[in-house]
Amino acid sequence: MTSRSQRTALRLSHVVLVSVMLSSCGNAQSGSLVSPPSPTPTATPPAEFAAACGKPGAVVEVKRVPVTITRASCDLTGVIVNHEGVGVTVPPEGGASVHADGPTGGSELSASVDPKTQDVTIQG
Amino acid sequence: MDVTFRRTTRNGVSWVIAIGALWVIAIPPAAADTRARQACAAYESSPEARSLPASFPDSGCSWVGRVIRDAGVGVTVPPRGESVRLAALGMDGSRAMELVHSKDGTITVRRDSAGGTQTARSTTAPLPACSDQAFNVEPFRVWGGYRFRYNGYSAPSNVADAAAATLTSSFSSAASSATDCSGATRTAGPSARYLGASGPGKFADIYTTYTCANSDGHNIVSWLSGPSGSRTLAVTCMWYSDGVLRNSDAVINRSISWFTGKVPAGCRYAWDLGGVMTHEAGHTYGLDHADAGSRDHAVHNNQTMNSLLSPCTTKYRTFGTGDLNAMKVIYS
Repeated sequence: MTSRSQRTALRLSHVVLVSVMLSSCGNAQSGSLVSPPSPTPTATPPAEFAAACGKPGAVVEVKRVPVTITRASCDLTGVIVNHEGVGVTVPPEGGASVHADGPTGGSELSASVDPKTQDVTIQG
Repeated sequence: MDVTFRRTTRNGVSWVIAIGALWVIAIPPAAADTRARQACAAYESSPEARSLPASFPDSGCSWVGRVIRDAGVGVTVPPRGESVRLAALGMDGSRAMELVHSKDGTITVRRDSAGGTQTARSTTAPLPACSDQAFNVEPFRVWGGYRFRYNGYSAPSNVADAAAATLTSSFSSAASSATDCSGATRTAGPSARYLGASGPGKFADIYTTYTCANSDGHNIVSWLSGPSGSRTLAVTCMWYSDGVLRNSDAVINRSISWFTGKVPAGCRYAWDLGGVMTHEAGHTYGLDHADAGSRDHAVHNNQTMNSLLSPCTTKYRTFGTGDLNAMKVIYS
């Protein structure tokens, strides 16, 4: 019922499919071995923070996490930091603020303040 | 013939797998009922909502009076025909939980943390309060008026003297849809009346674990110290039946820094008691979080009924357009 060329094409498609699956498995494995980038304090905060420095109650959408903002460059206390729909209010010195979505989400965002330097680290 | 046979076999196998998957995902009602009964009968007094089916019959075990918890909050199962809803406002988002005990004996538990569903948006900048139309409503309304008492025990010293007047103003402000939006249509909600201080030992029917207790029919606002490290600002419990509020209590976390009047000079991490209580009054009158079921709390940050309220501002004392829309839907 099926021609030889069709059977060959079918086998080839199976080989390609298995190869793709194997390669993606390999990527997932190698990806899990890579540790997330450690946030490095920057002398000047990312542009999106500029308008919120020293303004408790302001709302900032952070484009990339993790990120560390030095206290010397920007005081974020009381600022609502938002990333991909999850938000936290930056606490005072030495505090940590975590928003973990409950049953339906699984997203998490934290804002922690170094008790010594008062630098703020935002992590997803 | 050979190919046809294999195709038929493949189709047959696919159907078996599909039906099997559906059976696993949907969990047969009998198994779900058993799961609920086991959780109820177990020594553990407060099962987690996630260990229970979303909906189950109350037969086979005495559920009334039992506490069901979820993500740091909880509710006590009310009698048949009554429902209870909890709204916890935190500085890191909100938690909501609702338990419906239908007249036929079915218990349904709904859980929500604001930010449950990802929605793609072109902007995340907060909309001005007077142009933001977003709102959500709760499944009840207040008939007649809302009369409440206040227990000032353990109120923070810096707001203790002004607290009762602030609460009165907040509940009245929400009831009258007070707004700063010029030209906005205001809808008169229920009348709000402060009946004075509650008697000694009379507190809101809300446990320190942010759990709605049994309703006693008296509306009370009081203070509590939340669990260690709690970042919850306030919690409101609403008991209702047949779409009408029967009782609503609220607790305010005394561990938070509060202010009344003007924003204190140098304010960095304190919340306006009047603004937060206007938000809680909104819950009592049937308003849900403007961003419920979405991840738009940054967008709706200027609405009183947003799930994440900024510190050091008094802007939440009056309603934005979305809040007014909710009042209009419920009370006009």
